[in-house]
Amino acid sequence: MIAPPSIAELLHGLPRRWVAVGIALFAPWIWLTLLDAASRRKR
Amino acid sequence: MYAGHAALATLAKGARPRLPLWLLVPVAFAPDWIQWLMEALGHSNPEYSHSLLSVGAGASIVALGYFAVTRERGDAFALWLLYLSHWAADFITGSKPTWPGGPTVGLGLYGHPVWDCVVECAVIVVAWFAYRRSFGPAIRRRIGIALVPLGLIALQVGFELIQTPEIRAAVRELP
Repeated sequence: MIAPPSIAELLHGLPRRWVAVGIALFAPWIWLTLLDAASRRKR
Repeated sequence: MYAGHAALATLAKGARPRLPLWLLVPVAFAPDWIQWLMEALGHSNPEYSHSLLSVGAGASIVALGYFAVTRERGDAFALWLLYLSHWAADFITGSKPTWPGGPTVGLGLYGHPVWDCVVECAVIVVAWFAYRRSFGPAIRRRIGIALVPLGLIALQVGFELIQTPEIRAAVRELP
């Protein structure tokens, strides 16, 4: 049975600069979406 | 512009509270995401992602698509404006293409990193006041809401730091 590749192995095949830009683009999205959802959650 | 785009998404959230932030942020960053995806395909061309023409087309596609699904005219118009704001914001901080074969224009605030950081942080704070209006009075007083601008300011400061010549050169050398 072939084991699925780890995230580290998948990232290893991508250009590091492209990965860095991707992180910079996704960071505000994740930050705002999670904070907004947490703030609107009814207690 | 970097974190300023995210701030403009929170500004839109304050003006149109029914629009979800998970949609507003990608719309605000759409040209950057398109360029990033095109880079992965090996066909990066700012005219396809950041020109006035392509931004206008993208904004119209997003707004019409949203209107077709929801029939919410005001929200669709807000998405259209938010998408277009990307070009206007980048015009202030950098220089962007206009149309195929047209001039590249911009004020180039990136050339003055401190001022760029000041302007973007000011946009973040002003937008935050509008964003807070999308919450009820009790939630507005929660300290957690303040994490929104603080996180964006931290991202912006990090962005400015990687623009310093030493770090920028190191990033450029990444394979």
